[in-house]
Amino acid sequence: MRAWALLACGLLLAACGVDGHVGARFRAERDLFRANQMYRDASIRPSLVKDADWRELAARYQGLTDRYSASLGATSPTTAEQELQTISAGALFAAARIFGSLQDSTQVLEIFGRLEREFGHMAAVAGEVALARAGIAEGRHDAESAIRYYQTVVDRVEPDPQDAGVAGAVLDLPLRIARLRANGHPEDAKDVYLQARRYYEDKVASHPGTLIQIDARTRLAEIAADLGDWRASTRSLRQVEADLRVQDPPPRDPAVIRYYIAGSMSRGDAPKDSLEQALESVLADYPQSDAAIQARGSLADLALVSGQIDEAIAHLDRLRADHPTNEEVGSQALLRKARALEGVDARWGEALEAYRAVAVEHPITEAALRAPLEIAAHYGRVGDETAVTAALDRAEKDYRGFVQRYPPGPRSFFARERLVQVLMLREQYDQAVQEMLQLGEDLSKTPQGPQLFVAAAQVAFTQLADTSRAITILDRAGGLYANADVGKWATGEAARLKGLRKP
Amino acid sequence: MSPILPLGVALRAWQSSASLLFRSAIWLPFLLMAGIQALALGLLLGFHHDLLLPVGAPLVEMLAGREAMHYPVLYLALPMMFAKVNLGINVLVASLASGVATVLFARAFGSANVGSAWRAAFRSWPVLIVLAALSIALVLGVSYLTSLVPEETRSGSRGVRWGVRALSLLLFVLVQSMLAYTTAWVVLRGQSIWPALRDSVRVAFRTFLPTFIVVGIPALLLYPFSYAVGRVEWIASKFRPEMVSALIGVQLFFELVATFVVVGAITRLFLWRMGAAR
Repeated sequence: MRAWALLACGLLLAACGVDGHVGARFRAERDLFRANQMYRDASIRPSLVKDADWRELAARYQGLTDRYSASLGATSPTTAEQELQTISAGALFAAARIFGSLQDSTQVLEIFGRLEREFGHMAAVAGEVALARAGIAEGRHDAESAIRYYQTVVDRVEPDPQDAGVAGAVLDLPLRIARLRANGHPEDAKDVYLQARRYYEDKVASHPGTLIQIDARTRLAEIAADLGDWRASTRSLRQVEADLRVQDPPPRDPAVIRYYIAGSMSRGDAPKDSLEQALESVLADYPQSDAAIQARGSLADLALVSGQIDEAIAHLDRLRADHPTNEEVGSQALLRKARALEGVDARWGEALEAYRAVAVEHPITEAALRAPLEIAAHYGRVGDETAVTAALDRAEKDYRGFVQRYPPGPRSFFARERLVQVLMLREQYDQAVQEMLQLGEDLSKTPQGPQLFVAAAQVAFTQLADTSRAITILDRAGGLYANADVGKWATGEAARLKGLRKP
Repeated sequence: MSPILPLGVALRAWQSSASLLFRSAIWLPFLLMAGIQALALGLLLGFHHDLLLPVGAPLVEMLAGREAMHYPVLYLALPMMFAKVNLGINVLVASLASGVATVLFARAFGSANVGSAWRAAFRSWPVLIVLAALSIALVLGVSYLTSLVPEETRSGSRGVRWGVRALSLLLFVLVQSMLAYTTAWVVLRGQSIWPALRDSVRVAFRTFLPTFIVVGIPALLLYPFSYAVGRVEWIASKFRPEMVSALIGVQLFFELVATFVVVGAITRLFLWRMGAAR
């Protein structure tokens, strides 16, 4: 009996200590998990999901926030309450992401406003919103607003290079701000970089032996390079490399830093020999790193710039030999070899062979899809119209064959973009417009979508002199992106063209 | 002795037990146990509801830590949490329920010298609790023995993995077979802990193969459920986390039916052995 009484007392005491928000947090996590699962399912083939379904999912996320944020109080929240706030804010971000992919900037900005109003007291949320707003402002070339938002992030969020969210991006921002300011006032470059330099120097001093110190020192090197002081930049980077080499495992690849040193030297107009030595040292000291691939490529570029074609080709051949199973590296090296040979009049035969080899040896790569157009471009440059026609014929056949052979995906879309280029070069504008429209529909949820519609309307208007078709295309773009700037512009342009058509 | 004979005896015992499947009075103790298990499972699953939170949250935290109060961690920890709670239920409630059921089965099989089932079981409850705790301690000991096989050895070979599982199941069935008659000795013959243990082992040895078959076959049939419950992370990621609770629910239902049949069959074997001894 006594044991039961003790158990009851124990449970009663435990019950008194229960945080009332634990239950709501669990339910919010459950609802968010389910919504995320729906988002993941829809993201497998986003083009097959209707806009209405995406909006329904966004509403689901917003509903989650409505349901759980109502019970939150602002004063001294418990751990569960803080987590509930994070979940609610995260759900709103997810909704904003969906509206962003639907190009609905009105809804995105509305959600950002709500986030600032309801969750602005949370530094991470305020930082995320400011970062997103800065990105939008940069997209609109509004540097002043972008700087203001970036500064908000820097002021409110402590940097954490290992964080996947806003804290992971903070360390980049003072430099970004300085570059934006320097773009506007190149004459005051030294002054505008001063604030950033102070920020990074403070981080270097206050975070000894941490990743923050390493990353801050890397940014100091970038500042020095931006100001043309490549000696100071190289000094900073050498210090970073030394710091990284004593750590096991190093938090950043020291090979990349060594490669940056070469980059910094090249920006500082260092002598070619020193530059070569720096790049060779990456190959010698870090042969297994991806930076070694870039270093070998840069050595080839350096040789090309100095007119040493054979040396450049030797580097590119070595690149292919060292990475026989890496399709991207092999195809790019072969394409660059073809371009290098094309520059020498007497070696066009070898260049043509290399261009054709790209498609044969690495058929499903971007390089292979670029090669046919580059062959045609060469004949265009030398004024051989017959060869241009034959090369474009062959390129069109190749692209159509590729699109038929492979399922829709990034490579197939890339091939279709090249096909549009070929059709334009062949002055088959009607087919080009058709292809652009089909591609625009397939890529409607990507930034290329609106660009393709606008380009199709321009071709219809300027090359085909078909105002009605241009209006139809612009109306379609206006409907698809009604809440985005491009959609509003398309609707206005369609109205303008309709006005022009009236007698 | 021909292996057909023990199998025939085991089949007859099951048959006798199964013939009583529709006697509602015998189901009562089993339903009591199932009801308490369902309540415990419901409390763990619904701890986040405002009404249950004061009791559910401390319980979940006590069984699996603070992390288990998050979704979907709760479902990943559920089999472990429920197994812990079930240990308590087995010691406190299942011991009483099996005592009541043994008396009810004995009466249904025509054993004259048994009085009120509930009164007899309540009278012997403390002894039954000790015996149930002992049985659980032995089963946990068996699990501990199999856990001594190094993880690298197990993960390196499929054969070793399944060998360890088979050995674990075999030892479990052996322990259960040896202790199968303790409840009957206590509630039907009024014995105390030590004599009940001694005589249960004696009867189990004399009726070894039929007892081993009666206990072992249901354990083997139920094994896929415990195997699946052990793979909660895969189930939760492949389907939905809630599938874990559904799986435990189904497992409880089949365990309920199996327990009914096994308790009935063991009582039948016990009475048969006692009759033969006379």
